Amino acid sequence: MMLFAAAGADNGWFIPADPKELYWGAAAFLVVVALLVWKVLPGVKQAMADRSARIRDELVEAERARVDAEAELASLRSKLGDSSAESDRILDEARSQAKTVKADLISRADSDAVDARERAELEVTASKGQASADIQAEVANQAAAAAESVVNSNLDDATHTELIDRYIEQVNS
Amino acid sequence: MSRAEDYAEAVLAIGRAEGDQSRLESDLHSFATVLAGSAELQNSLGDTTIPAANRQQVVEDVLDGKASKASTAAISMIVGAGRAADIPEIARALSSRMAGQRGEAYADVRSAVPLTDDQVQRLEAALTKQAGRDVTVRVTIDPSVVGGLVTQIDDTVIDGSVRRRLTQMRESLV
Repeated sequence: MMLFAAAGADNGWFIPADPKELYWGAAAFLVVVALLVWKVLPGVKQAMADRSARIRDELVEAERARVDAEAELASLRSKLGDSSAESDRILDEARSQAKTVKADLISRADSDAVDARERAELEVTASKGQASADIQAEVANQAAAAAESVVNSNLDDATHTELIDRYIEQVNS
Repeated sequence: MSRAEDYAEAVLAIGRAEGDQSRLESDLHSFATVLAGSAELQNSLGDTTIPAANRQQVVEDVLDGKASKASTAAISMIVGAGRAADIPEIARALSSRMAGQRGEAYADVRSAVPLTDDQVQRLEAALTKQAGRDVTVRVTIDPSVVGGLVTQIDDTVIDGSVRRRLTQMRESLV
């Protein structure tokens, strides 16, 4: 205001040529300053205090959230550690079971192979025996048929009579 | 008592009623011999799908003039009952019963060829000696015997057949 007032001074300087203006200007300035200190400054102070309190509360809240987050983090890490141990245990158990199953399968396969081999050997032996018996029976049948044919062709009346007479003699003896 | 013995008892009752059991026995054995030698007759009389009256007519045709009326009726009764295949066994059972009535043993002799009267008498004498009582011999022609004889008295079988020797030879080879 003084500058604006001085801008129009006749001497070209900022200080007005008339000292009264300087006094009135100074007085007005002081009045304005007093008004500011009296009315505005407490509000500003209160606003600053409120803001400080709000920031303090926010800091406290943030600290609490941080602590909670760290606790949560610790809990999660703990759980993660537990689940990791559980998964390791499950994997170990699965590996153990797989090993057992594998051993069982191999053992069973070996046993089955031995059984199959023994069965095959028995079947081969039985087949050989059966084939031998069949051949023997066939040979016997052929021989018997041939013998019967020879006997039939040589059985004349005289032979029949001789056979019957010999039978009667044997019964009589 | 077997089924054949039941029929033999029935035939024996017919013979008693008619008063000629020997003729009945003789006719039954003759028919059994004819039946054994004819597959066609066995098939005709053994086929129970053929009406009984038709089978009995065949019996009457076969025995016409060759057997007594009582024999024809008895055989016709057996065939009508579907027991044609049992006739040889019925004949043996009948002879066995009749021999038993006379206090004799009955010998069923199977041979591939007919025996002479002399052979039958010598065989009866030999069997009587062995059985310790009189034996009546009835000879049945059975080609499966091949040669020699097979005699059955009650449960005893004396097998002197060529068939038995061939069977023994076959068994020894097996």
